[in-house]
Amino acid sequence: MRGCIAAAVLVAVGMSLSACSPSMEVENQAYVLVMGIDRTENGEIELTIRIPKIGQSESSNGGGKDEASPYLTYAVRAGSYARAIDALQVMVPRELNLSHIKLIIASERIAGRSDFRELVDQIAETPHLYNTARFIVCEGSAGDYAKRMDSVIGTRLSAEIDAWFDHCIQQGFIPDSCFADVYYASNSLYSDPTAVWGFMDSGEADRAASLNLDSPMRRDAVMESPSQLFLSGAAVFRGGTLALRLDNGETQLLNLALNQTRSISVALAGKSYELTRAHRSKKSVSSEKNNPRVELEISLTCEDQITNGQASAIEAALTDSLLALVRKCQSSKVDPFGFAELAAGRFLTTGEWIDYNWRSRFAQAEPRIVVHAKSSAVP
Amino acid sequence: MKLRVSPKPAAFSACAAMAARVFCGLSVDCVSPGYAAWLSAIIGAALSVPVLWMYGHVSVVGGRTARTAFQGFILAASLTGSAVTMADIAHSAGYLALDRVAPAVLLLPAALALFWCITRNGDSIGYAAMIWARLFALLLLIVVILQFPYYRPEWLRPILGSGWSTVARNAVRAAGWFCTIGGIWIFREDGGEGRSGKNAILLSCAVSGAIAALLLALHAMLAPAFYSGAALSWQLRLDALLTNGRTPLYLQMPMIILWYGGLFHLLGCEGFAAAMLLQQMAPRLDGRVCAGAVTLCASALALSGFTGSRLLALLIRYQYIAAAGFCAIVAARGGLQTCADA
Amino acid sequence: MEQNRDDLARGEIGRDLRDNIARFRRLLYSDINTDTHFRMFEMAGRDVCVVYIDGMADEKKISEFVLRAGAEAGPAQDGPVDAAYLIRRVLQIAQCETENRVKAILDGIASGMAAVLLSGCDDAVLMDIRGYPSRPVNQTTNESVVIGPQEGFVENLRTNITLLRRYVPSPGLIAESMEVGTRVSCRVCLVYLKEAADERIVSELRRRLKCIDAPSVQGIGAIQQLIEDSPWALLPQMLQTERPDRAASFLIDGQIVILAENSPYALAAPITLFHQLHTSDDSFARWQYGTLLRLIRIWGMLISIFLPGLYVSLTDYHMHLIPLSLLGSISEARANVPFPILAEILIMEFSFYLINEAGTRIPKQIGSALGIVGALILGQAAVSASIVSPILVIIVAITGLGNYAVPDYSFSLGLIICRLFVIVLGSLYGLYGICVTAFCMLMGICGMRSVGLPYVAPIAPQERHNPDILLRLPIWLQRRPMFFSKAGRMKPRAKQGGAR
Repeated sequence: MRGCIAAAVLVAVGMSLSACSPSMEVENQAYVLVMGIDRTENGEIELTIRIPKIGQSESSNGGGKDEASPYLTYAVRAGSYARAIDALQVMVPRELNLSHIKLIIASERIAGRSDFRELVDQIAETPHLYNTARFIVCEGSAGDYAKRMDSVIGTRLSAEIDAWFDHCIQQGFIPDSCFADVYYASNSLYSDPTAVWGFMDSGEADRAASLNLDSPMRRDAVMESPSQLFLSGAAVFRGGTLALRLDNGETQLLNLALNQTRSISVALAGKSYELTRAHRSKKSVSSEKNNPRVELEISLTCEDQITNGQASAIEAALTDSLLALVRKCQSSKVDPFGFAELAAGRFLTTGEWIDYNWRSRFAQAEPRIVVHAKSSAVP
Repeated sequence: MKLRVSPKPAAFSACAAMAARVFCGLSVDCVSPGYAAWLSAIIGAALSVPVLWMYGHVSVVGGRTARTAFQGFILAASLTGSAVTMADIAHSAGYLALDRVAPAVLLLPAALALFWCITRNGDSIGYAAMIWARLFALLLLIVVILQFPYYRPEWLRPILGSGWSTVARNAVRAAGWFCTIGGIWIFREDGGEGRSGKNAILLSCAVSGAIAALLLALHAMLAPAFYSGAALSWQLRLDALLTNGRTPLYLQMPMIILWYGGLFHLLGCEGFAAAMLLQQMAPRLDGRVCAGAVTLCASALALSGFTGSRLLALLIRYQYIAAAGFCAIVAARGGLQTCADA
Repeated sequence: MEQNRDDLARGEIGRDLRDNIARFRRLLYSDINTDTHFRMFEMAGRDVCVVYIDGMADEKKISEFVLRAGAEAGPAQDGPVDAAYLIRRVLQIAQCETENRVKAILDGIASGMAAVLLSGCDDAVLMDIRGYPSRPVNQTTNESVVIGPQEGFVENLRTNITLLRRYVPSPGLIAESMEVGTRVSCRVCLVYLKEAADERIVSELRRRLKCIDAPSVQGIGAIQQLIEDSPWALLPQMLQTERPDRAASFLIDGQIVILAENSPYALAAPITLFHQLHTSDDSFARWQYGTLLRLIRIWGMLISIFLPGLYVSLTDYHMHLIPLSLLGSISEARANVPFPILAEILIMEFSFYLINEAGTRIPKQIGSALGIVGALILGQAAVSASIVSPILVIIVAITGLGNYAVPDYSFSLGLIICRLFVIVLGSLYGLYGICVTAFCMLMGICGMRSVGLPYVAPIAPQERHNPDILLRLPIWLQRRPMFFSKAGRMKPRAKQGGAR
């Protein structure tokens, strides 16, 4: 009996060893950090990836043009996403490893196509792509955007990307969401997902178009990097397709409503006021006849001493801006505020909720915005 | 070698296995995981209580034939359960890293672990479950703390998900698992009679139902069910559970350990139940032979693709009804016989 | 010839002194063995012969209390002069007894006793006048503590029992002596506290000791191997300690301690997994410090088992679980290493074991040189020559430290074997392999028993216990009797394991 067991164990170990012999050594992997997805004029998928060089042994002639760059860049075009990944596998001199992707960039052109949701699903289903990446929708070419990603803070691209995003999120100019959020929300029954909006500094006209300089929010609210890449604003998806673009000011307000930012800067009559969220914003959905009524209540405190008149002016300005934002979203039939989750809670089954057709209802809903502003400074 | 298990280890082992099986069954093993699976787990636990209660009568009034038939039923359920768990383990290993490795090779460690586990005997499996209960609580706490900012309670609504029919269907499936895994009580060394035995059944059902419901709710708050209702691939189902994408990846290790740990305890419990019942039905067989037979059969079933077949899904759907019906018939006949004797 | 010797050793001595002397001369090979002494003289009017081995018995005592006492003793006045009379009236030795079995007398002489053979008497007097040199009670060498007693057991059984009696001054402290070994016997002592120890466990251990049928038993380690429940298990199910204070605390808790001649260690049983992680420091330090130390030890144990395997599995299969900045460092460090990670880690692990083993065997005078060569020069050279990566040196070093944090030497060796399994399975299957190994190890320890009691009690099976298992809470909360003691509820499973 013992002999049989020993033989079985030996056979098992032998089989295991033979099956696992093509091991994945850590230094033999090509860790993709950034992936740009675009669609060419003739409908092909264009994938651009950036890979860090490992050690000093790796030469930079594998596709990267810049000898000094610590990264290699590869770009392929193929009829489909899967074929493009296969092509990259052939092209990259090491084993392609997608498990550490930090950033997925989709161009505005591809994100606005009706088949973008299928592409998002395919990306999510890619083996070992654990979709924890940040997600940017950018103006122009996603490949160009990816190629400009270079190390700025510290020595590693990942540190730069994380620090860059964290800083922008803290300021409230971009939404705090990742690729998985977009993927899940696109396939679920709730509010519409948002992604980060990015653009390259290709000219003053573009920049002006991308930033809302007339917003009551801070006018110099642009995060500029030496690589001339910008993150500012949000891309709102409807059914997995890009439906609406919000500027930096609108995104700040959206983040305030979603409790994703704590402070906001408001400029009125040449003076800037720093406001902090006093409580978590309150959202509610109530039903009146056929159309719902959506309510949003935000309480802010100002660290400086402000008069009642100034407080009223701030409240009015913010109320107007928020109202405009809600109406803008209603006109595009997108709900990035999270009202859908509240409304869904009033139904027992998903069938009833789907029949209710929230998108249309939301578009018809009557918004009510209440903003409270007061001073926290001791008079 | 005689395969046996004492009451307390049996209760712990079954409790750990029930929670794991219901969670797997209503999330990863479900091709279109629906909303409100947590509610189904609770209802399933409640539905299983009367059947588990009636198990005691099967051995008392049912006679040898009824007992043997029921042993056969639980044996078949435990064996297929082991196979499903082995397939789950292999899928998880493939998803996490070993997607290029042959399924037979992936199943090998699980099969060896199953054999080793059964030959350690029932009390060891129960003791391991007792230790696992503590580790599980600790790991779950770590996981919840790490993932806390990413939970979305609003994703639990609408409260009934796809509706009563789906909830009921899943509840019946869950009740089937509770009933088949609970069979380890009745067929253990000293039988399942007695007040303490029944209390243990109730308690274990309640605890495992609550744990499964909690896990399913946490899972639903991290990744919403898809409205399309289309069959999801293994890749996506494990994606939603293990790596999810909404939390930093390097924090996922406790989740992976929790997942594998739960699956191994489930495999141990179901495999041991099958081996023990096999030995009871064929008392001349040595425990090691039974362990080997169960390991081979479960591995073969897992490799054959039967674990993913529609037939098995159908059988699982009706195993509760079969168990309940069988118990009711035996109890009724026994009752009539008792009256006639009187 | 050998058969004749066995026949001679059997049976009892006769009344003829010359025959008896001839018999013992043959049995003790006195024609070639110059250490054996047969001293003839007259005692109370009878011819007697003292038989002893030079160096083993105390010659001073023989001269003072046997020869002189014999010379001074007058003729017998109250009854015949026999062995009992000599003990009663002549010999001034505290420990002496009559004995007529040749084998027993022979074993006594071999162990340092002296035998007095009388003419016309079929009994001999066996006197315990052992006087062989032994080490004085010294500081412990392997179980050092910062706070607490510093003395350790020595090779002398009598001294060791005395040490235990000093720590447990109770009339209920029982020391049962017995001889084990069929050819070369070894004196062992089963020590327990009558009020605390469960009689069933004592009986079971007594049975196992008596069942030992090995020709010779070389110390406490051999006894442990012969009476353990699961000899195939990787972890020990009995605990060796060289500290009398620790052995005393085991006795007070209701455990049984086995002492053996020539073994500066005590063997305690039954034990649990958690005893292997406890030290004397825990008891002597304040509870907060004791708890911290235990947590550190548990952490050390986990690191010792899992860290290298985890490193292999994460770097080979689960890169996504490593933060990218660390992954970059690992990749860059490994870029010039020609071996796969498994080979790299096995090279480093076995180098570590080699240094460890060499360090144990090496004379103390050059031990520090080995440390320098092993730790500094070899490690640095291996990194410079790209045989191993620097991060792996860190991993192996931390693993080694974790292993050293485990107090019990045998247990730590068991952990090393477990670690090798984890490394191999981790390199084959990644985290899946590690989880399988961990599960099998868990099943293994859950199936183990120590003198019939579960190895992982009182956690599994759950028993009411003092808060002194993983953590060590305040001493005033520790009032429950241990589950294996007489007052505890758990009883050993009958006929578990036994002597081989």
